[in-house]
Amino acid sequence: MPASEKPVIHFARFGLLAASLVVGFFATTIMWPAIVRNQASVADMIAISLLFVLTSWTALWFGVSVIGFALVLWNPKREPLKRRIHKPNPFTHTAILLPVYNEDTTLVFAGLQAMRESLGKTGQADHFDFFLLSDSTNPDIWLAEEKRWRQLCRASDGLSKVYYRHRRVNTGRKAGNIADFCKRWGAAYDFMIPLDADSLVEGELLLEMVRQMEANPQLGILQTPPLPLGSSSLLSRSQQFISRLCGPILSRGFAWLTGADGNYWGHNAIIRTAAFTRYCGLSELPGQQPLGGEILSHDFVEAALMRRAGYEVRLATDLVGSYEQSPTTLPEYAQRDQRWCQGNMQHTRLIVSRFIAPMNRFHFFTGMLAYVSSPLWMLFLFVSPLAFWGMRTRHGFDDPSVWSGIALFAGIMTLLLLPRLFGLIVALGNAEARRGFGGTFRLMSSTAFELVLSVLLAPIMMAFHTLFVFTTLQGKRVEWNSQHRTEEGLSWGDAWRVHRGQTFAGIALAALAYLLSPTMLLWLAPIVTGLVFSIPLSIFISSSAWGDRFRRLGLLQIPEETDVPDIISRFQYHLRHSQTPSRDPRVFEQFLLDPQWIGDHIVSLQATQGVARANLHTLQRVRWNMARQRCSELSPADKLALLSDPNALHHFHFRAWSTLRDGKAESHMRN
Amino acid sequence: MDHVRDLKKHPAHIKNYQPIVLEIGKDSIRLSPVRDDRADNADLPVETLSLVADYVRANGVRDPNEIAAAANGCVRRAQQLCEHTPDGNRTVEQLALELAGEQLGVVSSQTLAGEPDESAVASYKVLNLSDVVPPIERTPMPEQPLGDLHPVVQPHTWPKAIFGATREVLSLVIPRFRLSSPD
Repeated sequence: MPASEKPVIHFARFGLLAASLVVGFFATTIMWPAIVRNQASVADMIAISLLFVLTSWTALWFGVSVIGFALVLWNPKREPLKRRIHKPNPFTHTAILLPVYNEDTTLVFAGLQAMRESLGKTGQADHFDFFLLSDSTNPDIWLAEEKRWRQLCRASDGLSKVYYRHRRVNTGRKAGNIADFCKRWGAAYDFMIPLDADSLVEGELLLEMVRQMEANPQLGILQTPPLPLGSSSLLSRSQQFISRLCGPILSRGFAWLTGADGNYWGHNAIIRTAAFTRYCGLSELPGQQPLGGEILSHDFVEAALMRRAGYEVRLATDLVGSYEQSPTTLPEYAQRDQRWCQGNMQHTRLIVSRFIAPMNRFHFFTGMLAYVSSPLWMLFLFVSPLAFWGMRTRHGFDDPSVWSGIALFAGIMTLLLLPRLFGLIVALGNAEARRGFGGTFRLMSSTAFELVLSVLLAPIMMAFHTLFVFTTLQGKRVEWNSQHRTEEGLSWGDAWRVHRGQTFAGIALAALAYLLSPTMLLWLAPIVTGLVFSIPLSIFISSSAWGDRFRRLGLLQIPEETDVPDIISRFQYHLRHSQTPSRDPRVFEQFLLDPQWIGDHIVSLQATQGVARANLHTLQRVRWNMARQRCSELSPADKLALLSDPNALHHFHFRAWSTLRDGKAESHMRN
Repeated sequence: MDHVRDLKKHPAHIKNYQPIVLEIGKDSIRLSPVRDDRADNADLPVETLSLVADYVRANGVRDPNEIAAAANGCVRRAQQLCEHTPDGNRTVEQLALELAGEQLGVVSSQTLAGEPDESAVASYKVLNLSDVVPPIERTPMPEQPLGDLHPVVQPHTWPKAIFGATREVLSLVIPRFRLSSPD
């Protein structure tokens, strides 16, 4: 960032914050006379305070979108990578990290191979190595990963090398997984690019990220904005549509405002390995869980530590070709939010900690408020009718303060909806983008549909987030067991289990509001509707069939669907041509019978220092089970112990052969 | 394959012991023909012979004569071992398979003897250590201090400060609104 930009950005940050607070204050002063007549009650005070906080919060993000909109209008072109003239070849070595934890191996390896091929096309594959960093605790998945990796290793395709490392104990979760890489192999690589299991990044983009890091030695983390892509349900399509429509505007505004004080989102970013290893080692937060202990959302904290060390952290909105997949069903979406909520709640501790840069405090604060705002909205919506109570009986709707309330409501809705309008204006103003979105009519219809869907989903997500905030504070976790998804999406049974509480709450709320006052029911209608119909709505939006119908109609379409990026085409090709099932229940038996696989597995253990002797009780249990031909009934813990012990593996390899006399053994070998 | 060690381990009176020699060609694996002095194998259990033959075949040996000879040799030797040095944990079948595995290079005699073999890499493999991961170069990753509360927001001071400030603001704001209220 040129030095001359700095004062402008500082001014803009303070200006935006001040403007947001002014909007909040303005809204509060408008509503104060309407709410407080003679003496302020507790409900009045709570309603007014919440109104101030929530209006300021909404205004802040509106301000970011206004800045982004202005920047996009001023310089609408995102520079396509292939048109860049200055393309020096990299002179550094980069590791691309794929941390996996019991993921679907078919998806992981399809993505991995697509990225290798895409990188191979650039002719610079030898500057990159892939690391599959497995923390899988399911032994069958561990073996499935290993099986596919061996297949890749055998193919001499001239593409980037793929290394495989499995950790027996997933200490520190994903952050610990990356830290383990840094401690053991980080010294050999200038940069690392951590991905998610569902990430896809174009080879050209990987190269460009490296070039930017090489050009700016002060750059510690360069984050790309990943576009959700590739899933088929209505929810995923809706997410990818709104991200494509409004995402560039918001991220442009956010990137400009944050400058070198940007944030890191944990994946699809390039990191200076030496700086990260030296300055970003995570320690535990003082105190007990949920707000203390092991850091769950590591990315924000790592960005803060990188800034503290004096390195820049930037969001590269000009780089395209970075993709991720969004959750398919609403419960999956909510569960992902629950993980993030737990992590972001921990950050409250860091907002007031020493040696954290002000902008990183802001990131922690916004991350926390993204979830805490839900219970605040809920509280406001419940308390505000009490605060307004009696207004009609005193003066009726002739009272000007009633109309000021309606005007305020309209104002807040405008703040919420205008960013969508900005996105729509930008898309309509660009012929290529307009065609990509399916034309003017489809674009407008899709925007309207997405808006309706968002309004209906908002109370459901508000209820989820409120639940997550309170359970997190209690140190608990909400679990939805037996999520047996059908191919179509979510079953009625699972939807009932997940949403029944919301449905009952919606019905009870509607009944109570109607009894008190039909006007109150009208006020609460946007919440009540979403809650009451949460079960059918969840099934509807989680449905792949409905997603396909919308796709055929060209609704919720994005330009990347008509002009499919190369990496997506490659990924889909590998997904279609993947012959090995992702979860084979016989994989452990196959492994035990295959001496070459066992040999390669032992080599892996020894190379990664993963050997551990199984204890006597485990060996006895395994022997007992194998003697009764119950190899498939071995517990995951026993399998894991066996998989880490080379001597035991050899012993049970022969035992497996001697117990499988009926020719099964040879057929296993052939498979 | 440590035959010297193998012979030392077994009693000298074991007759007809003939090690099988593994020959790994470019495209195939074969075992040297085993000349079994006792051509008649009627005394050997058919199921065990069949199992060992399956195992040898599954490990890449294709010549039927070699497979039969290897199976005969291993089963006979296993029987002799079981007779002279009975091992409660191993059946003839398993011992015969282990012997076949040893001759094929699947496993070392050290491993079969149950001794720790962590330093040696597996002998029957496709991958090398360097295929799995690059050589490890340990780098320290020091844990950074986190969560040190700023002195002005120590737990015992900040609630007092926040409530005090809120009270002050409200005491200033509320009277003004009361004055401006139409009531």
